[in-house]
Amino acid sequence: MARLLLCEFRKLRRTRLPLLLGVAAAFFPLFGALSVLGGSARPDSVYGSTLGTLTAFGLPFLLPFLTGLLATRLFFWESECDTLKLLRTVPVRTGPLAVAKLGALLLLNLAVTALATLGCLLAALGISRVLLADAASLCGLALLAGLLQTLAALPLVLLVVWVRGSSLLSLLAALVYSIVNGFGCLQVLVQMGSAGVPPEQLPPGRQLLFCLPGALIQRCLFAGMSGSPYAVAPALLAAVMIGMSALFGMGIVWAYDRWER
Amino acid sequence: MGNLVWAELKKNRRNLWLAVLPLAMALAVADSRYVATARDGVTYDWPLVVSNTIFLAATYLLPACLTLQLTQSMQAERDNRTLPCLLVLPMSFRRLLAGKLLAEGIWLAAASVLEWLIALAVFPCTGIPGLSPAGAATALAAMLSANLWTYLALLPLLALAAQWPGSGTAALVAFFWGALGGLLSNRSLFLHLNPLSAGTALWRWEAGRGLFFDSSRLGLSLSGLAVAVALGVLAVAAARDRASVRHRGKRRRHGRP
Repeated sequence: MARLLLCEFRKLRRTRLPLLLGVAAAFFPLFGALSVLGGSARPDSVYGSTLGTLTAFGLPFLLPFLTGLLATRLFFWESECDTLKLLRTVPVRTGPLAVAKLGALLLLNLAVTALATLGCLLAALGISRVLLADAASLCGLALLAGLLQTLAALPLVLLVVWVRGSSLLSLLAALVYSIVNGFGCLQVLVQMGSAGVPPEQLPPGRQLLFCLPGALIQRCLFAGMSGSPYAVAPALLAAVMIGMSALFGMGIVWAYDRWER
Repeated sequence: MGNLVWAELKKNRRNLWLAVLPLAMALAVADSRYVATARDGVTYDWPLVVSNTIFLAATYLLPACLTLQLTQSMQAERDNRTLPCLLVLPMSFRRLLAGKLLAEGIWLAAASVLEWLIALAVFPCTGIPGLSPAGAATALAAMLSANLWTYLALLPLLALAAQWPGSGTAALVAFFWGALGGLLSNRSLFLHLNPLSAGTALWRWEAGRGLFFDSSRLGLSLSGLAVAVALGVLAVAAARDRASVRHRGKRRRHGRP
């Protein structure tokens, strides 16, 4: 499995994708630095708030799109290069191959999150000569949010693999999924921070929003300790995420297995 | 150039990506209407939901959609092997790219009008108050100008992305740029500094709600847009098909002419 995972990473060297992911992650500290240089924000607070924005708002928007893009690349490559047949002749079973691709996807998402977080910390240190307070806990929270948001985007990966449409269709699905997930999470945070209306008093459409995987993550990470009526226990979130990963992981393996039949 | 733009518009009829921009606009209106159901103590009326729609479309949806549409259109010329035929007409790559960019701008303007029509149909019918003839006219002007501003601000990326094969990575960078700009735009200076979001701040709605017009920052916004357009024009002027250059390099290495 480790060799398969390594192979997946080696395949990525053919593209400019890792370089561009690094550039995309560097946008985070760049925007903070622009605010500091423009004089609209204090240097000692802007990177902390940028990191907070990244964790609370940024990841639910950005990671599903990134997940969709990477899933399209990783799964479609074998068909485009006609190598799936050869891999099955080696023999490599479809299950471990799909799991290796999912592992590569998860690690890449974590790497982008880590790069963005590290970029903010280094920019704070380099430009404003400030070591962010609670830097370790902020990094931990960002990485945890990155891991959970990637797992929450597994339905999108299943859709990409199952539909097996064009890459344009997959990218559009990723865009729509990330907008819906991002704004859903944003709405949950706004609702949690405003009037504190209990979830059961909300209209049914909005109640459903609070049960989506992205919303559960927000409710656990940002209201778990506050005693809010929206709070979700970490054990419940962990159970949901494990169940979802198992279910959608099996679904992805099954859908990928159909490709060559 | 007129014929070229017309040909590009007609070519788009064959393809799925024609629907990308109208779908994005419909999604922006639907999401803005959904946001308006929040019980967060805010009164959602016509100016506010329209400004939410404009902001959502211009910062979150259009950058990735425009990039996808243009790069897919150029990639289709490569995949269908029509690009070499166009180049022997003779038509330069930069002229073809300029034609595609202009056609995309025209299609974006049409999609902006569609966005306005969808907003006119959806918001009043679902109980959003405050629609007036003047408000409707302002909304049309705001949607057109904000969307076209975003398109102009995105020109450098569009002109660069179309020169290389593939579309995913360029769309990812466009999405990150737009979404992060949107997320960080609560810092008012940044809203104007980022050319992608500066267009949403052009229109004055009612004070304290809706878009955040600040006339003192208009110069800053215009300077950012001018730089983006200048970079875009430079990128178009220096454009060539980088995929074929790479291919030629490979052929030479294999000893073929």
